[in-house]
Amino acid sequence: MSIARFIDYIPQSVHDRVESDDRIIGTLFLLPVVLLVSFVVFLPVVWAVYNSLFDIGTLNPERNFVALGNYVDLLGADPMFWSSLWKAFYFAVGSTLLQLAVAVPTAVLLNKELRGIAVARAIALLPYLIPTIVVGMMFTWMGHPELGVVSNGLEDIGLTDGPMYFFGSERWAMPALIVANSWKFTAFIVMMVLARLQSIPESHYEAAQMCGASAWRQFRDVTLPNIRNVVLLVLLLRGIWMFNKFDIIWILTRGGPANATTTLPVYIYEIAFTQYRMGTALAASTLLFLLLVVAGVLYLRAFDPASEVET
Amino acid sequence: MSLVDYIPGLNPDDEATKWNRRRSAKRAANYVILISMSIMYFFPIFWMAKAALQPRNELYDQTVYYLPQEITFENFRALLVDSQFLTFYANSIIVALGVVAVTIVTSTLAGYALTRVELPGKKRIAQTTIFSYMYPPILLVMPMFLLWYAVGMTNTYVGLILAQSALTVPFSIWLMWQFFQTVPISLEESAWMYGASRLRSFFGIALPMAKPGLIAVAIFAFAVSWNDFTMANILMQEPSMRTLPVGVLFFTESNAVDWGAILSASALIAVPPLLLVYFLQRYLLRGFRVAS
Amino acid sequence: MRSSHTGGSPRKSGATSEFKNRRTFLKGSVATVAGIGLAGCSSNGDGNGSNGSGSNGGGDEAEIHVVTGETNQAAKQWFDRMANQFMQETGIAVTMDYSSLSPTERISTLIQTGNTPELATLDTGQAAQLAFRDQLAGVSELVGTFEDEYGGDVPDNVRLQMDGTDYTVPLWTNPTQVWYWSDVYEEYGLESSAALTWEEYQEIAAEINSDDMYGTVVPSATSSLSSFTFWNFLTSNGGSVASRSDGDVQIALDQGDNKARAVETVEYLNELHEYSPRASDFEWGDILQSFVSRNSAHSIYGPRAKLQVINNTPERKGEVRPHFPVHNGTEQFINNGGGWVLLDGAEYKDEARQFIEFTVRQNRLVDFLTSVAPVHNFPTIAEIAEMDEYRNSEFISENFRERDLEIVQESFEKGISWGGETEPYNQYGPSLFTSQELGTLLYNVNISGKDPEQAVSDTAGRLRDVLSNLQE
Repeated sequence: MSIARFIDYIPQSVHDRVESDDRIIGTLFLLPVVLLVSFVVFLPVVWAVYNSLFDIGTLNPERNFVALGNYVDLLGADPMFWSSLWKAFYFAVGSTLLQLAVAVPTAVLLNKELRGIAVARAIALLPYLIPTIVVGMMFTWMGHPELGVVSNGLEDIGLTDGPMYFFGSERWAMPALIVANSWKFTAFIVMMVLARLQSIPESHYEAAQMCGASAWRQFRDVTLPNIRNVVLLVLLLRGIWMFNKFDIIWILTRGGPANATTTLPVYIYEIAFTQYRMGTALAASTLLFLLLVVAGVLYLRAFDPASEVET
Repeated sequence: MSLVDYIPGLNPDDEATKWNRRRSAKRAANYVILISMSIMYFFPIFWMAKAALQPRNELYDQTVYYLPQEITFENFRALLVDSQFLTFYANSIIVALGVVAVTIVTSTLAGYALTRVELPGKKRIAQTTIFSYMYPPILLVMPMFLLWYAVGMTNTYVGLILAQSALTVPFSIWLMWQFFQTVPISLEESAWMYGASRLRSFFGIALPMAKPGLIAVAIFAFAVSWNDFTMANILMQEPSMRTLPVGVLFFTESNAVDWGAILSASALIAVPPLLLVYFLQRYLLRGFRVAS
Repeated sequence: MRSSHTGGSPRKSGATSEFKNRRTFLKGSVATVAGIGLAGCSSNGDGNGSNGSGSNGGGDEAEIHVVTGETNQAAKQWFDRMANQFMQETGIAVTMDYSSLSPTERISTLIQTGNTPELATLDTGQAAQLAFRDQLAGVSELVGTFEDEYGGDVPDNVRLQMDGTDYTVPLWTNPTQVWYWSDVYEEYGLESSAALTWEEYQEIAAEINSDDMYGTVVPSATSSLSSFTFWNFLTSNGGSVASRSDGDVQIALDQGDNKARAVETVEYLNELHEYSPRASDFEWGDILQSFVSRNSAHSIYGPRAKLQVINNTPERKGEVRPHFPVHNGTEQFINNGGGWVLLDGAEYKDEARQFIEFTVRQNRLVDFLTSVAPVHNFPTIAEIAEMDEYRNSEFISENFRERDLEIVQESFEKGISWGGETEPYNQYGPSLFTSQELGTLLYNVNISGKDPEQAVSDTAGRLRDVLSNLQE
């Protein structure tokens, strides 16, 4: 079948007819999105950025214009800002890399035609659909040093001797958080990569096999180029989301022990709701936002996950 | 006859059995990995379901029971009879379905427009949507509440559906954009040849072929909505409009956690996702076979 | 009564004009981005922009907006009942806003967006945060009404009084006791006497402590529970966190005699920690879980320990008994409470006062106290605890003995609140507590092994930072 041969011969008039609709269709198709995003995202961000220029008490409707005062305070005189930024970075990078490292092999495995694969897929995707609140509760329950199953299980199979303090140890709290968090979010990458793998035509692999390509070469030459864009996009998104992650950290450790897991979003929450300095919290959020914007622009420049794929 | 036959010690029969053996060893290895992976993913859910079936005095026993010593449905009964749990459940389902619908419609339309239609700056539009994820959501709730309140959309399904869709749509557009790129334009062009319009070829050809993407988008949208605490908490203040993630916190009484209730509620919250992923991923597989 | 309000009104009008500006700003951006589609919003804004709390539609119908963090089934039933009955009696609508996060977070959102609620139930610590930021209206006359209704006094240690004005109507109090497993005491031949001394308590903890059960729990974490534990023991050692000199609040933790007391307290809790799990992330829920699971023999916290046992392992409830909190010469303990607050920036304050009054009259409050965490939420007026309706209510008579109630009552009488260390009330006390620096102090010594004296000095320094931030 060679549809391709027709392409050259498609009369100009057909293209013209179709493309004359394009402006209208394109605009109509994009309009709902533009409206939704500007209303729901753009306006609140403008509000937040604008208000970060004021000194606002969280419990107090009065406000004084301080221009960049909040920013100066944060950047110049607040060591917690920098240390929490570093912890957010640790958490985001650790989570994203762990998730990626587990997810890609999992997706490749789940793409195989094996008996019971449907059940395995459902199980692998399920964690992503469990609400974070529930995940937090589950891991609190399982991670209790004296009464939880993790601590007791490890002891029962003889790996440890005595209770394990995951969330209550400065050393282990962050790794434990990253693992708990990744249990849920790995599935997101698995799902995206799996969906992409599913749309690679079998013929590509057959062609590779006929050329005698090994499994590794098939992966490198067929799979990887096809999932590249999805992986790059997912990496960017997961990075952003993990940098802004608040809920699961708050449920599991509340930033403790001794601030070991106080990432920037947790610190922002504390500024806003235990120190009651809303203006400063908004400024810190805006800084985090700007940081992510710059990193995002650089990332898009460097890797260009938006490049068109040709198959 | 290949060269192999002339190399001493390489009898083709031996080679075949070896190959078979290697193949079955590989299959076995695949299964081992698959099963251990499944256990790893499923254990927390099993543990939660198990706890929900245990009587409370077993939950609060110092000994950890890997299987319940006694099974009770008391926790579930208490949940379904005594509390507003079912209302929360219905709310969550309504909102999640709404979000899935809004997301699928907007993202397929926009994704297709970005792929096929020549528009100035379309790549920039797509990239900008990603930036909408970058502001930390914890503090965005205040302006959102202000806005929703001003237009009278607090305590409405529509209001919450729109708010959550704002979380799902930007990424979904990208995803659909990527997926539409894999649909060869030649197929659509040949349809145009037969007089089909752009809309016809969109619904008849591009959409069915992008099905794996569509399903991924649906799962993603459902997951975001089912998961959302922040927006639901701020926008749905009325008790009868609460969704599950917010409602489940009602089982913590100021300083005390009611583990029996929380864990059984959690187990019930996991049921629709389980059904959804099980059936959708089967569909995903079938969609793929048709497409190839 | 009026006089206490005049102070608030100029501020309020300032806030109102600010609010209008903000809304105008928002309106502008809505209009720019979304165009005519949102015209309805702007006209709505104009309609009631003149007052701080824009109720949707802005008619004359009064509506009382009530925020509460009491979200369990029993509390919800009570609040819903109050709202309905009040509506029937007066025709004024009451909207209940059950907040599953901290109610102050919800209130702050409402204040920031110009929808200040009329009422909230808060604990004294949370209420103080609002009070010293001038967000609360005085409710002294309602406290008077409350006292008259039950013919008793609301003692100072649950009140939030500033410059002679009350800012809460204290409905409940949460005093501290030591709860223990009586069967364990029997097993070891121990006897519960009146208030134990530190030394006696340590001996008991040491004796019980075994592989199966910890002698006690010393929460050593950056948590409220841990801060509470330290402050409690410091108080029972005659020490204090803050003091006033020349009227100004100061950190007293590392000053003069107090420093020796603080260091002594840390050292004692460090020794006691030997008989405790390594509680480096313990919050309220964890200490209860430890106790109910019989992982520890004691829980130093309120009657909630018993309530959790009743709820989860009811067959054991008879074995849970209290004694007075332990002391080292000073029988004084931390006591937090809570109740109604009235927000100064709200629209329907008179109706809200009426509602508060409604809820305390005709024993309606007794219903609350006998159904919402009964006994843990102990009555603030001694006479209520003596009432037949209270004592003979089904839950209390079935689960608590006379002696239990006496002990709770007495520990309440000997309690002081976070701000009660100084005279007059230290309005920053609750913030010093919520900063959790005192809990971190125990973490630093018990978990990280810091020198107690150094750790106390460091903590005092950090508390000074907290204080100076607040005093700005």
